[in-house]
Amino acid sequence: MSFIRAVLESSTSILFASFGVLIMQLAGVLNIGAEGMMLVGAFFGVLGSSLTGNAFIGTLFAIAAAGITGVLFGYCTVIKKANQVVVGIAFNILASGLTTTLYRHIFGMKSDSTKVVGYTDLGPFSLPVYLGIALIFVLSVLLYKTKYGLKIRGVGEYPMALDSFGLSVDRIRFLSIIFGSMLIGVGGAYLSLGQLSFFTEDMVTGRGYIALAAVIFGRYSPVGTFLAVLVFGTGEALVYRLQAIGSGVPTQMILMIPYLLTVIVVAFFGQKGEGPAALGVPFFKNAKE
Amino acid sequence: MSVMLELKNISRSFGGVFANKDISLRVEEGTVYSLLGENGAGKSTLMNVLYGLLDPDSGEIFIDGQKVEIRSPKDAISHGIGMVHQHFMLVNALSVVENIILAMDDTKGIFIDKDKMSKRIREISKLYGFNIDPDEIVGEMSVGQQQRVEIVKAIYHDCRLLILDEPTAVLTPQETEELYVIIDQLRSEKKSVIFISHKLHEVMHVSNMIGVLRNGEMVASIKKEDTNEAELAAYMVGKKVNFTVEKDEMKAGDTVLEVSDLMVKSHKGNMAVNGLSLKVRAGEIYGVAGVDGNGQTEFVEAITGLCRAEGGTIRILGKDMINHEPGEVLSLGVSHIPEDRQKMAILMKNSLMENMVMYDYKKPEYKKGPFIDWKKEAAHAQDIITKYNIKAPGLYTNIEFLSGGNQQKAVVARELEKSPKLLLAVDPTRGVDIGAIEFIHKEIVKARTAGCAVLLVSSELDEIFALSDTIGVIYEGQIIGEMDRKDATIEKVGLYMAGMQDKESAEMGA
Repeated sequence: MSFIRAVLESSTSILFASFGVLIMQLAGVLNIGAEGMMLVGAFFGVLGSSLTGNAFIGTLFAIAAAGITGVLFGYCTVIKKANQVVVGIAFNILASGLTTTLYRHIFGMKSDSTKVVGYTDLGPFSLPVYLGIALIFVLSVLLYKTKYGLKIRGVGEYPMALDSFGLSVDRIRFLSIIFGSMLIGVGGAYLSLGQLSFFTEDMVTGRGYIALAAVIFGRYSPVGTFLAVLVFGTGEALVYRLQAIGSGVPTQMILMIPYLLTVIVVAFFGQKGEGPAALGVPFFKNAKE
Repeated sequence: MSVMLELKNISRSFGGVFANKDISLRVEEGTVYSLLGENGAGKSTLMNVLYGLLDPDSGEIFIDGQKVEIRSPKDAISHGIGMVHQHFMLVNALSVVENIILAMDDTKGIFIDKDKMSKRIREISKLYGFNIDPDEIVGEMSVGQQQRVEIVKAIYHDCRLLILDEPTAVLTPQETEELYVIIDQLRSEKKSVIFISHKLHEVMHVSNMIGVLRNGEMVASIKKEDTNEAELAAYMVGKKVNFTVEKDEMKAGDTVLEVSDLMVKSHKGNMAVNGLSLKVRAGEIYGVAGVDGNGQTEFVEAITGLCRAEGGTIRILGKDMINHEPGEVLSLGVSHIPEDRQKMAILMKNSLMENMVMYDYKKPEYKKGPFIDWKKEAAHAQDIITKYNIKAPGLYTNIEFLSGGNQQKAVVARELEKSPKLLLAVDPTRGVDIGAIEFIHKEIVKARTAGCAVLLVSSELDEIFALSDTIGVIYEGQIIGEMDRKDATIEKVGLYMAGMQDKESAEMGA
């Protein structure tokens, strides 16, 4: 039971991030910057919680901060048509530097981490865990039953068609990026407020990339992504468990588990042609063919 | 009959160059108006103006005698104009009904109502005998069916004037015939059609009125009954064209390419080339006729080493070349004009110059030590461009900015400059305007007369008949009929293309 609990808790942070990435990828935006957006969410969650003493207000801080990051990301990739991979990497570096600087400036240079108020449990889990699971259904409905979902899926496949119907490709992509970034921000906040109740520098440690892998492994659907995240969550829970038992296996080897899983998954399931056709391709409105 | 659409003095220029100059035309209700012209003559610009994708510099549009402003596709649709683009505006990953909802979105609320839409799609589909399943994923449909989805989309909007932009470019001959039936039905329902094409026989077949554009100007607007293909072609290019290519009597030499019992699997896994045999001699053009998809692609790719053969032999200049690397095949003096030039023959993002010298950079005379001597390469490229009259803004312009005809001329020039012993030409004039077709045909004949063996694979019978010395018909991966050009008739070849063996060979086999 406690292991299942550990799996779900490890999964929740990646789940929110994966869903954010999923929305963006379906809209045709490749978000390498998920790692940085999570970090921003993790830091501002802790900042909000420390300022107000309330983890949920902290989460709102995280959503707002990640949302602003999304606006910047959208400005670069959608409005300015910059290379999405390059912008994503730049955002990761920026987020790392920004959160480290702000953290040291606001919380001081103390080596011990500042504890803040985290989420309180409702029944066996805290609220974000339930929300994460509820999101599977919400996103499934959004993507497959609503007009907005149809537009998201369309714009990631063949933006020129939507343009010819008089729909704004840039608008749909921009909104998807902001929405996706906010979800990723929640993922970061859950990492700092749910799992740990404190912030450490560069604490996301690859979960943003794991989220990208989960979306591929989950074949770009909410249910599939959830199942994929569970696999990674299990890997992470296993790390804690194995470390706790003291199995004699070197810690470094154990710590490799989630990342090895990611490499294996991407190598075997990341074939080309699975994802949205226009993923990562900037759209230039151009009436004359 | 009343005039449904009238364009008056439409002009549109791009950077000082007129794409459309003072164009006027009238389309009557229930008729088909064909817009004929070479690539770059201004057909697409005119239609984009009509469909609201481009604003005209000047001119007026009247619908049912009322002056209208069309600023966006939405305006056009609301005036009953529908357009089927050359590249379909369909999202492949979505189903038919999802595509149509995406394009329409006239219902209220945030949820999509598939049932209501599906019902309407089935109704329209039944009315036109389309057999479209609203829940099918568009990407899994044939190109012909996708086109029908586009037509359904237009009809869904209650369109009264349908613009078809080069609709037959992507269709098989059968699908083209079926499209004609659909156009007839639209006509009988008092809907009007604007049919854009550069193929003369299609235009003669389908139209009531024909307008010819040349260099952005309307040079003729004629009733179909009052004209013929030769006259239309003359209007298009501004001079009389000669469809028959002049060539000397064939002086066939030794066998250059010998293929026997070749077996090649398609990427789908079926045996696309299934026991194919043929011989091409020096100084001979061997034309392979056939409906697309009968193994032509796999056949040529097996010769060039681009795909694996499962069995049989391929001998080039007496050497066994089956399943060799493409580089080894090319180094024997083989040139290849592939069917899809933009994917296989040129690098779109590279300059015209770089594209022209792709074979030369390894040669010692174009090198300075380990480096490429770009000055020499540029001079060489310039020579070819002048010699073959390739029209380009400059040597260093990306080849993607050249017209389709000039891109293809560049490919032909590069391949023929090698003075090949064997030329593999697959649809060498697909999507190319008449002026360039004439030029490319002449160059191929020139190479043949100089002693090159030419394997011509084409889905255009006109081309096969104009160029070939020997004609072979490919059907389900085999050459099922072979004849001298002199003995060939369209009927005879057509029967073979449909898979019918003629009596003679059937008797010989018995």
